Amino acid sequence: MLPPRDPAAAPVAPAAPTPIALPESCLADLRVGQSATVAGIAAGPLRLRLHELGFVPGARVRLVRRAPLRDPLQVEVCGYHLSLRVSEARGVRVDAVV
Amino acid sequence: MADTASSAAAGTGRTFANAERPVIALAGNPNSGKTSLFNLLTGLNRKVANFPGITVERVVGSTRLPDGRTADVLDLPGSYSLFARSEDERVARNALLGRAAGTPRPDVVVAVADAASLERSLFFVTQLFEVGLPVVIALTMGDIAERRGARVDAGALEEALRVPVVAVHARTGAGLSTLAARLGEATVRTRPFRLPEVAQAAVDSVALTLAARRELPPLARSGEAMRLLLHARKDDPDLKAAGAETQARVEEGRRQLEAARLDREALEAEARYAYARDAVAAARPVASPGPHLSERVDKVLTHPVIGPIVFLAIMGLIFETLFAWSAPLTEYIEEGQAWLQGVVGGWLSDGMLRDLIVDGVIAGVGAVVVFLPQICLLFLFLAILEDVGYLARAAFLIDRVMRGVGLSGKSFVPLLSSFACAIPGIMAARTIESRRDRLVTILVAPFMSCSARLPVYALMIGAFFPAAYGGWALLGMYVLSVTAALVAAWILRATLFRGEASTYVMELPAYRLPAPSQVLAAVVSRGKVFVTQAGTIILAFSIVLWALAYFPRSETIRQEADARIEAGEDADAVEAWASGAQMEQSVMGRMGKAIEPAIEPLGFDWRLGVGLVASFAAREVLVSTLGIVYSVGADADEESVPLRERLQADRRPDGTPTYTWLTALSVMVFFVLACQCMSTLAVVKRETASWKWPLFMFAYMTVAAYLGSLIVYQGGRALGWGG
Repeated sequence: MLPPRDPAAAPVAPAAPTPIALPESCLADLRVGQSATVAGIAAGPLRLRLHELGFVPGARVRLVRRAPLRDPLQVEVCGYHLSLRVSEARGVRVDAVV
Repeated sequence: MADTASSAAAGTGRTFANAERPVIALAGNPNSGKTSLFNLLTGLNRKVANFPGITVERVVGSTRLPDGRTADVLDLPGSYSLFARSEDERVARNALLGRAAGTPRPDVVVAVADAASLERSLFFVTQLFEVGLPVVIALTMGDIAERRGARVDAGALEEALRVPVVAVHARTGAGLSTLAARLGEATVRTRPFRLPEVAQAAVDSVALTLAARRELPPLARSGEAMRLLLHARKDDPDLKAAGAETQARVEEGRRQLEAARLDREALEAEARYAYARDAVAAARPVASPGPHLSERVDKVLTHPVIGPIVFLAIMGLIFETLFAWSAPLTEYIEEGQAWLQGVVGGWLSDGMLRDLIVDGVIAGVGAVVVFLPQICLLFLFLAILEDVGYLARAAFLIDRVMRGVGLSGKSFVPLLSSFACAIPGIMAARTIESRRDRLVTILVAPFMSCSARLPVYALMIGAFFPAAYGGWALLGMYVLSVTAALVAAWILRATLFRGEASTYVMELPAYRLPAPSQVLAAVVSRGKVFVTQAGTIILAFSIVLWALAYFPRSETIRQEADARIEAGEDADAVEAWASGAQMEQSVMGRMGKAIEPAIEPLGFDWRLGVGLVASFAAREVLVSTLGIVYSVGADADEESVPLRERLQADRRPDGTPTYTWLTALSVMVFFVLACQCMSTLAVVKRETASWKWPLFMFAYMTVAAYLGSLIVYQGGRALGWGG
């Protein structure tokens, strides 16, 4: 997991809004059709790739649907669709958007 | 920092404007329309090879520029990032930096940007700015963006990015001539945004140490320094090669980033996406595009109930096609080969040259060409499904199932295709990006029971199984083949290819109508690659195998045969006997006898041993080889009654039958599990760019076949079967 970051510290990048203190949730927890903003990506081999694909802090994501066997997920990010496994989506921390 | 192409490429003096034969690199995301654009630019006029020593394909074509010059067009592998760690991306980067052996540094880069996913495209395009080459942007998919209510203004984008932006329609070719005309205006840019201060200082400090490396173009130093600082792992070959000074600066820089509480892995992406968002906002009046039309299609095609049904129907259609539709074409080729052998055989006088040409060369070329219908049909289907966007959905639907054996959804189509023939299946595995998954898929694909095994099954079942059990025996072979493939995949994933579960993240591109010209181009180029590259190896093997079965020739046998024909015996029967006798004392016949002790526990005698050696060329050769050994004639086929009868009637010296249904079962199990197909090995060699994997494949499958047969035969004997 990502080392916990002190919210009082200097913001990493101006593009990322300071996360509001909400219960931590991940992309895999979203309901179908629900949107959220990315808060961060857990450490791991996939982290760089997810950043490159547009999962940067502040980016809007939407869970479009689950595959017939509930896994993998279809997700919209930056206006395009991709699919990723539930285990992979657990690494994407999100702030839920109403 | 803007600089036009005419004065760029410092150092060599070579520019796009003055090069006699300029090199254009085409770079972009997968599914961005890059390949369509390449096809439009180059027609079917291309060379496909691997980059030296690796499996990544290097595709070069040529095009005529408006000023009359001919330019080479290099189609770089589609990728989402230039600075990431995958092999494809490293290849693209090295080619752009002029570090790929045998590939000259491009003079200009055409960066393909997809208007429908513009932010992600610009992430990659701005990375292309950092290799120090003049860039022109080709803006594709404008129609899709427009349908979603988010038209992109190419002029405004050009103003924001300060490089030429040309809207092109990759299907119709609209805009292509403008693109060609504006290549000369391509602009050299550097990183268009600033990193946070600490990071920028660290990048600059690393970049200074790279100045001594002359193979790195000066304008590419900062980008390479950033990559080494932010993304390179300890085992990165370029970081290792950069020397102690650079490594020390990288270490120091990373400590500084940590001290400043900067997220090293995230900061490039955050800054780049922030820049991309601003550029998009300037060029697109609508803040965010409306919903994909594709979403409505997906509602059906990935529906929990309808989705799997459509999936099975499409897979069934592919399977049926490869099996049934290709059969008449394959037959034509076989008939054509026989006809050619007859004609050429008639021209040449009897002797070694005739035998070499007829039975070695023509038969060898035939062995290559006979696979073409299945390869072309499979690639026709795959190209259509990929072009439409369905292939990604198929992987999406089946991924959960494939994960059970450690593979992903992307392995499904290659494995299914291998039921028809492992060769197109193995070639289809190139759609799998994960190297580990791709290798495992390639290594287990030949277990899937291909159509070349059918003649063997038909002969053995026809001769030794009562009609009522024949169908069950055949079904059993298919079940065994699937089980073997899945178990092997599971074992390989747990041993040689261990490591974290394969990553699956995959784009689901918008659905589109397929473009016939693109589909055709894909089929032609695949077929060409197979014939030229695998074909040469297959031909060489065929000639070697022919020689093994031909030499040495025995004069005594020839003289005896001539004497018997003169004495009035039936000439055909005597010739059949003579070729059997010649085969028996040839190198291959001796090999059959030499391996007899080893294969005896499987229930095989030396004649089956000869069949095994000969069928290394191709499985179905077993039937004609047994025909020769049993003096039935070389044109014996699986329906041939005399051959069946000879097999049934054959007796050991002690009077017991040589073959029983248990022997037949043992033979079939051996043929399910063994890699008796040089064409497959040749294709694996091509696809993995090394002899290591085909040799490994041959070895482990042969061991599996031996053990499988041994268990069946000895187990069956212990139970008192087949006595």
